[in-house]
Amino acid sequence: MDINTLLQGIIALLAILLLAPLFAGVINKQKAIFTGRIGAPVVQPYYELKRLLRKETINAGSSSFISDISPAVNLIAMVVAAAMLPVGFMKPLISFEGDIILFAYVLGLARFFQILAAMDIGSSFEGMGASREATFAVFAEPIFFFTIGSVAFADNLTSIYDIYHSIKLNNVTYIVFIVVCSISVLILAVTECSRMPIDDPNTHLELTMIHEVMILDNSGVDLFLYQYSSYVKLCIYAIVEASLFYPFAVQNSYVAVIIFLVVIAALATTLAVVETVTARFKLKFVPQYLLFATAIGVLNLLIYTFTK
Amino acid sequence: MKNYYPLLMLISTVGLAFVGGLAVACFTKINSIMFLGDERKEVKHFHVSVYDYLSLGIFALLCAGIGFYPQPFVRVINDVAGKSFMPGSSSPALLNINWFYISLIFLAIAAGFILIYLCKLGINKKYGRKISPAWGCGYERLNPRMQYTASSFADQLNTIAKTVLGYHKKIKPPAEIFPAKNRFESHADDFVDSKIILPLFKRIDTFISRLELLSYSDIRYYVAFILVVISIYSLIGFLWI
Amino acid sequence: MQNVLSIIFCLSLFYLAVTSRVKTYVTVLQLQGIILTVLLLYPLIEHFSVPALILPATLFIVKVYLIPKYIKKILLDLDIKRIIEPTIQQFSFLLLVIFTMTVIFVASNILSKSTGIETIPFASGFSAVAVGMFIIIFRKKLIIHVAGFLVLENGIFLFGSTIASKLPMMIELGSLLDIFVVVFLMGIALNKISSTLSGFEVTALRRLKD
Repeated sequence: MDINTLLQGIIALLAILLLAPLFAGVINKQKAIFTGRIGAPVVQPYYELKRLLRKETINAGSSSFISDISPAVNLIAMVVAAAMLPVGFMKPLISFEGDIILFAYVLGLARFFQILAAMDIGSSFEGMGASREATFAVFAEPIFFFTIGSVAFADNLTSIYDIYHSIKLNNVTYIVFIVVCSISVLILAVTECSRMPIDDPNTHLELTMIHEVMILDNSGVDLFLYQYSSYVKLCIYAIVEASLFYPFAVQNSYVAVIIFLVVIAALATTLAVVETVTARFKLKFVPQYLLFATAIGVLNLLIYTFTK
Repeated sequence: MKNYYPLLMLISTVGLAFVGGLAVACFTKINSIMFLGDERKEVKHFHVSVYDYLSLGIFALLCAGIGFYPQPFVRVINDVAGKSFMPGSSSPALLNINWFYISLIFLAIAAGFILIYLCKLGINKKYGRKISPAWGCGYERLNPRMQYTASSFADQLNTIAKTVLGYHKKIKPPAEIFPAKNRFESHADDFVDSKIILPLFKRIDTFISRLELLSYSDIRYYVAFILVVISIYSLIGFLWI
Repeated sequence: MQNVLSIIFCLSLFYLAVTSRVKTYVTVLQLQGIILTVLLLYPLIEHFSVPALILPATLFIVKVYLIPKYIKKILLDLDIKRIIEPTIQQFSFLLLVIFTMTVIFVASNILSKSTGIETIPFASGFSAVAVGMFIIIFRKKLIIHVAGFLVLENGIFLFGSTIASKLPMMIELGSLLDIFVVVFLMGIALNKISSTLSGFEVTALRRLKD
């Protein structure tokens, strides 16, 4: 690996880590505008994270060492997952054959520790969130492999960078294939990052459902690490979704970066519109919703197999 | 004939992802109910010796060792995966995985974790850390019995598959305003065990028990029966080989 | 272009399988009518002829305008409850639909090697027939039965149009069967039933047995 690709990888990773709260801030600002308010400034998440660093850490009475180490494991797992994503044309820092499976399971490591830390607190409130997260993760993991994997299996590629680089939007069937894939990945992103219509990210106490429940009894540095890793996770899934449309065929790299930023902004608008317009599902409908995304993935695969 | 091997690989990967998700759910349930949170009932006499910790610790170190350095263990599997099961199989991408990257990434995860934890300890020293009771959702008297139980954790997953698992709950609704002691039981049968394997074995059992009668009657019948079975076996062996 | 429209058709079938609102059936039927009209209009771009416009225009008026208007009027008049109660779990219904669609696609792929049909429109039409029959089997309301029958007919029309070069007149006649369904079955029978029985469930029809 020469110094140029190394530098590109580091710049990509730093871009994701530094701009992740900005993405969440943009979504919140757009939601406020759609509901007729002025809303908080776009850089508000940065102020909140800075505020959390100055607070005292409080842990629950019955917690053990798991509550101590889990926030740090969460953050480092998100950073490693972010290091595997191609941002625009830049080659990621970690890229080798078979890294698609490592990507999915590093995110699984973060989720595992978060569920354990939630059950560690010893209150029924967090146990409820942990059980829901475990159930929805069972149905959400296969969606990732069905969509990204079916793009990959056509050419026997197993590295995320190679997979995204092999997408060339030249004929109509392929474009429809990618569009249907992106609908599935959008449903997956909404589930994994706990946005509407699965979970409401605005409420922090009595009405919380999945993610906010699990981090309820943390404060100070712990809450900073959890919040920051949830922002990075949202950014990761946004890039997974937006890279499906990235025009790798465009030769001029600056035009390509601008198109990439436009696609991410469009994705932020889509998320804001979906959050404003839909109400939350009843929780027993969520596995069916995820099965709908899997069904779309199966249909996609069938059509792609039988057209060629 | 089109090459369907990548399609089969994709379907098996999806199946493995599903199984992996279920494994995470099961493991977190067992681990958290047994080790985390508060004790539900008080345990008076409890004694663990060093040798218990030693044996479990060896297994834990072995697991961590395989994670950090998988190369010699994967070589065993690669021999099997390298043979082609189907025409047009053995995609080379899975055999050429450079396991050095995996070790490097896990070492980086461990190093990064230690770094972040040290920063966290520094910040805790500066701003303080204290222990306080958890949020009881407005209920003042939070006691350990109100923690999430194992059946509540698994309830949602079981309800989705309740036709196959035969999942049913037995509960009597409370009769008065202030509820007295009550029972709750939830049960999931093993579908394969109770509907397929056990009836099959029962039927084989009734069949064989009729033959058993032979050994309790005249011994000459029993010797004749043995002679018949041995001749059938030798006939089969003779014709096969 | 046929492939793209068939894919959107299949997606609408999945949406029918998961929904639990009665109004969605009407919207999906309108969408399927639009898809079929576009499918019929597509060959006209090259050989444009006015008599060939009659069938798409009739299809559009009947499927997108008349039938949904009539169904909505019935929903309003008879004050039918707006939620569908499922007979089997929604989850298992979707699994059944996925499995059936996979089998149909694989079978039509095998068929397309020996005969001259195209795989995807044929398989989409056939799976619409299957989904229509599942809706008739697994739902209790009468209006939903009629909607399932209409989905079945849309499916027949879709896979009939892929072999249209052989039997053009038959396909056109079959597609206008919709009008007979609407006028005779639904209008007369339902209006007569509503005067004797209230509450529109199929189980209530058992009282007609002697």
